[in-house]
Amino acid sequence: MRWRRYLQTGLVVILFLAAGLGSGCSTETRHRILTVVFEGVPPPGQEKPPGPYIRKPRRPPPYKPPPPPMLAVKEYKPAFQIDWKALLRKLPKDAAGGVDWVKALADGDIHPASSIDPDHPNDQPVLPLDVHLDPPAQPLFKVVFPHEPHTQWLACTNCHPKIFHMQAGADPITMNKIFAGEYCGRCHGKVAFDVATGCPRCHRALAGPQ
Amino acid sequence: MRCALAALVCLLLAGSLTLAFGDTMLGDITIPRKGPAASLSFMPQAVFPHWKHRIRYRCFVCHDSLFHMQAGADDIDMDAVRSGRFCGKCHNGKTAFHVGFDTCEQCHRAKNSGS
Repeated sequence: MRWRRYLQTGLVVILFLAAGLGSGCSTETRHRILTVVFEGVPPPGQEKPPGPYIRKPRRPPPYKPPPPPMLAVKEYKPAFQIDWKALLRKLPKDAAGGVDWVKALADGDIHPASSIDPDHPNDQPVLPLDVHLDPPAQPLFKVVFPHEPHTQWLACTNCHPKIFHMQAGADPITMNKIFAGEYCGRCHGKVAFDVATGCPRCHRALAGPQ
Repeated sequence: MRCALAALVCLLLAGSLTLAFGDTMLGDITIPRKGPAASLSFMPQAVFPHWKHRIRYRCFVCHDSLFHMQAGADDIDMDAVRSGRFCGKCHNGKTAFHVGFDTCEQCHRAKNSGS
């Protein structure tokens, strides 16, 4: 029974060695030796692992598209793109460099609609009437107001009777009042051609004899 | 006479420069802000370019049934526009581009006109 005794002694020695490894070595050595035998041994100074050991996947996981944002804002793409700059370059210009809308309409460059609904046009009558406004003793500043280009754009009720009486000379129109935004100044200088276009566009006598 | 001529030339030059750079056009209206919207600073005020609309529509289409002929006379706000009043009469996605979070910059831009 001697071999059995040797075996017992050997086991005890191995146990002692293992116990010594577990407690007696310095932490670095212990870590180094334990890493050879076991997997996932925490490095020294970090004895408690933060969580369960997770193996790295053998192949990369399949691509998952990122979730869409809560408020999906798509980029605005108009059905048809208008090149406004090119359009503006094409329109006829007046003496001040602004668009000459009356000429653009007469030349057929633009075709403004008369109502929002294209199936129900709301054409307004065009009135070929010139109104002569003669300031007393100032023949040079005589104004000929042409109804025709105005009625191509505007309806009668836009101006009459709120802005102008329907009676030639009934309104005391002066340039100061126009500059202050009354009478012609309701549109001219704001939307329609302004004073930079030059005086003779209204005061035709200032352009000299024709 | 020479002075007047010089003034006229200056005016013409200024006018053509304005048009060439296209920052503002005659008839651009910055829609005024009223009430609680007056303190909004993150979004530029809406600018209405008259000239783009004149190419398509005559004056009487909008005046005076949709808009008064006076800047600031109408209380235009986004709720009104979205419910189909004022600009919303056409800007509903059918006649003209719709009003939504993808089209803010179509109107709300610091400089509107030339482009």
